[in-house]
Amino acid sequence: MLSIRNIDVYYGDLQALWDVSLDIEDLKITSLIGSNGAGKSTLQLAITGLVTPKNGTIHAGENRLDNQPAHKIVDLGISMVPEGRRLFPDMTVLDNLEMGAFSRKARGKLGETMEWVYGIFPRLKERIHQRAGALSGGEQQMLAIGRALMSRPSFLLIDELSLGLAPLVVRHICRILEEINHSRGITLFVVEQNVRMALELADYGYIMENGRIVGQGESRGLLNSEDIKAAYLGTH
Amino acid sequence: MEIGQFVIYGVINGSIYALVAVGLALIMGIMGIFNLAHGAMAMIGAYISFWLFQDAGIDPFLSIPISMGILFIIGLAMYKGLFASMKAFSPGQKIRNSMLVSFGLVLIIENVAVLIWTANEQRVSTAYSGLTFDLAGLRMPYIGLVTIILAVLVIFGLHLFLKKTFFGRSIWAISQDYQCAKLMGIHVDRTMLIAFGIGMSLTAVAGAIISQYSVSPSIGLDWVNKSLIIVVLAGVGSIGGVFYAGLLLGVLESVSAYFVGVHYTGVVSLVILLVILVFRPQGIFAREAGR
Repeated sequence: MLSIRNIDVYYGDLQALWDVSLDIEDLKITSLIGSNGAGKSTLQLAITGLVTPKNGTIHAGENRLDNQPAHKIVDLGISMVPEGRRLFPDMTVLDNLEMGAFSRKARGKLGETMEWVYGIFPRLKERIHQRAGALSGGEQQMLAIGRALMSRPSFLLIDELSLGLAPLVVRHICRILEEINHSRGITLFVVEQNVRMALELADYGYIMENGRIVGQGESRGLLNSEDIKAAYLGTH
Repeated sequence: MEIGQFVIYGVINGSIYALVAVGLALIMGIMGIFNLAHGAMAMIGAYISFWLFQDAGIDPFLSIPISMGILFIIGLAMYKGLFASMKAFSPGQKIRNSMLVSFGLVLIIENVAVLIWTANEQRVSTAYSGLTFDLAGLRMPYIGLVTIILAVLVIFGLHLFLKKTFFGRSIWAISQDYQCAKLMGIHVDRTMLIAFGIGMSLTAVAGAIISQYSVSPSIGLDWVNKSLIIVVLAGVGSIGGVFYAGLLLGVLESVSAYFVGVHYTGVVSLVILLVILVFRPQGIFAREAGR
């Protein structure tokens, strides 16, 4: 389990997260929803070590994460698909995937993992020698997920999966994520503005507003809650 | 003298240019640090060869590993002391700040070099200095041949290292997105440090050759000038292109000396640089502008 306890995160003098606590249960899909600028991405960056919380702790099982540098956290089985994909645009699809297996542990299983990722995203195999920057949006998102899987994570964090993608593509990728979660036992943590998509995908959801967790519950319950409908889904 | 002879000298000079420039292509083109002290490091490399030859009798080509080691360590200290703190800057700010800081460094290195080695020109004369062999009726100096071979080995070796090894590609990845590189498990700080050290140590190869022509404390800025022209010609980020751009500049300078006289070689090469950049602002060997 990934457990976050009472973290405060600052950017300079500006506080972005206030006393945030959250659990990501093993083998489940957990989502964090909220509007743009609520602090959702900051929380992911804190887990992966790209920002350091001022107070509070983050643990993955027995391992404490919040005092470790980002490159060590990957080795502990935590991988992230960053917002906007953030591929290495001048590298080929193949190079991007190989960079995902940079950590020593993953490098040993490179060939095997690569076949597995191609099995999940056959489209990537057709494009291995293309520049990542030349792929379509959906293919880029697949590559970003594939690259994150190359480190053989037990936790996969996904930031704004649906951003800039057609609904059909989003649905396709969601189905693949469910499959990864069920058959490979990879725990997912999905941060999303697209509230309906996130709650339909996830087992459990947290709601964040202005850097604070303001609600949580089983996804189905949240989907049917009147408050959520009014605030995020635009239906009554 | 025949024009063919000028071409041979142009190729040799161009190989030296490319050898000096290749480290800059790595540090500026890929890491985004504008190190004006690059030529001064080649100067230090040349003096190390000179020292090792004068005091220990080691051939300048054979002492390359030693001077590479020394420059690697100086490079590490330089990066730690001056450039590491700029890592989170935006690309533009990093270029500006590193240029200012390294310009100061050039002045310091030059003056210290004058104190240690005096301002006089020095050179290493080995048993084979000035010897040539016949190449299709033209004279090819032995040093020139070794220079060309070293340039090919170093430049294409670095190219392969950056493209094929995990470590090399991680430098490339950092240059495209350093935060995302961390997410891949790349130890960004350490990688940048070592890459900078490698870029500096490569100037030792050029230094070993320069020491056999002429070295004085003031040559640093001339060499950084030439290197900048080559890096821009090749296209920022292109390593293999540095070799061809170096040859192009060397041959153009040499052939223009044949036609318009030695005094105008610098002008001719700059005019050609301008013309090329008007038509290909991204450089000759880079894929597209802004990349």
